[in-house]
Amino acid sequence: MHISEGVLSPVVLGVGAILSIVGTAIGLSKLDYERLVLVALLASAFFVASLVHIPIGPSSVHLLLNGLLGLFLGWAAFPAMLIALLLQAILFSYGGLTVLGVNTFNQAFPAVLCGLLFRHRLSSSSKLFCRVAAFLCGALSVVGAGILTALSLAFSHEGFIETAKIFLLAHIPVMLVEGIMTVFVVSFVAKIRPELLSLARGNTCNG
Amino acid sequence: MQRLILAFFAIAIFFLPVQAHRVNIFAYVEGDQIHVECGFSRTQKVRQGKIEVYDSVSKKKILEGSTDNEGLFFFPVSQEMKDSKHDLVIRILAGEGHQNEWVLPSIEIDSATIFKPQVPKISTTTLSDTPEIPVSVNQESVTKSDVELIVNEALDVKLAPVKQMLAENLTSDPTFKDIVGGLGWILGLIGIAAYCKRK
Repeated sequence: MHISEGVLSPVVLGVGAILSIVGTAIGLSKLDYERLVLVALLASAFFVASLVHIPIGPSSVHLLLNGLLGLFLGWAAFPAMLIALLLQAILFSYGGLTVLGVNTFNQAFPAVLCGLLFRHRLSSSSKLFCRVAAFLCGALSVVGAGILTALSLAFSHEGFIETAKIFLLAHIPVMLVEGIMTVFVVSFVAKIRPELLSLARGNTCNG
Repeated sequence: MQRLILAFFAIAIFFLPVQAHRVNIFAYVEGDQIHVECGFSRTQKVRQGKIEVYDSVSKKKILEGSTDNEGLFFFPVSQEMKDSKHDLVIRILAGEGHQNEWVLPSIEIDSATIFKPQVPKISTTTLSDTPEIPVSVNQESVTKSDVELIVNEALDVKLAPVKQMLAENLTSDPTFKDIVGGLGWILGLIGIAAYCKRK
């Protein structure tokens, strides 16, 4: 979901940059420095996930894992994604430096929202409920990122409704894959490091 | 935490070989046509992507079209393009915010052969058995521009594989070294943050 250089208007780029700076500042203030290894791990996962893509029509879509970052890191997902997107722009020319703010906000903000919504559901005694919450967090984060990306393009020159439809349709496979992956990761973490789930519930990351 | 880290790297390796997620474009002149190749990677071509061609000086749109299922688009070099001596900006719009452009220099456009040369035919009649029948040779004169056209055509054929190699290099996927480098940067930056916090 990387928007390339030269696509968006300067106003959209400016607003995206400001919103990302605000989100990153909040993320850094809420970051628990005792859990930096987890932040590094999830930022690396986000960095690698964008390299896996599925061809759809003339374009292609790629995994995001933003829901996972939002679930475990909360607001710290902003600085984690900013670093990963910056390195992708420099090393692979994915996206660009001028659109870094917009790309970061589009992917991080839905992740933070979904994390806030679903994190506390992980403490449910019902395994099924936990899995559904994890699935929805992963899937809806992709929906949110798609809607924000379509909005960014709409405010530049493409029609929003049409672009949003194309985006969401194209990302249906990604939503399903992301939802399932989030469920697997949460289940895996619950077995080997259940204290990380208490982290996800917001006890330690202050998110 | 060590098991988690090991599990992560085991999964990350599974994602190799990876594919690119930016749209690449490469254009070159061959004969009297401009060839445009678009792709996300060597294997993932841009199908039905929108192509726009602009004059680099006047910014006027000259033509537009779409790539075929192989990510290719061709358009002829016109005399106006050659006479203007301006570079051409060829833009690919692959949808969902993926966009890139290629600047084709005017010097390369100038090398296009718009007219197919009339290759002069040099023919001889064979000697007959009877000495009374005369032998004649027909020959047309070859001009400098004809020679240039012939040489350009021959060069196009010879350079086609080189241009193909260039196009493939431009659409190369991120390598394992790039990915490891990126992961190293992330871990390094986090390490610096941890060190500064400790101080």
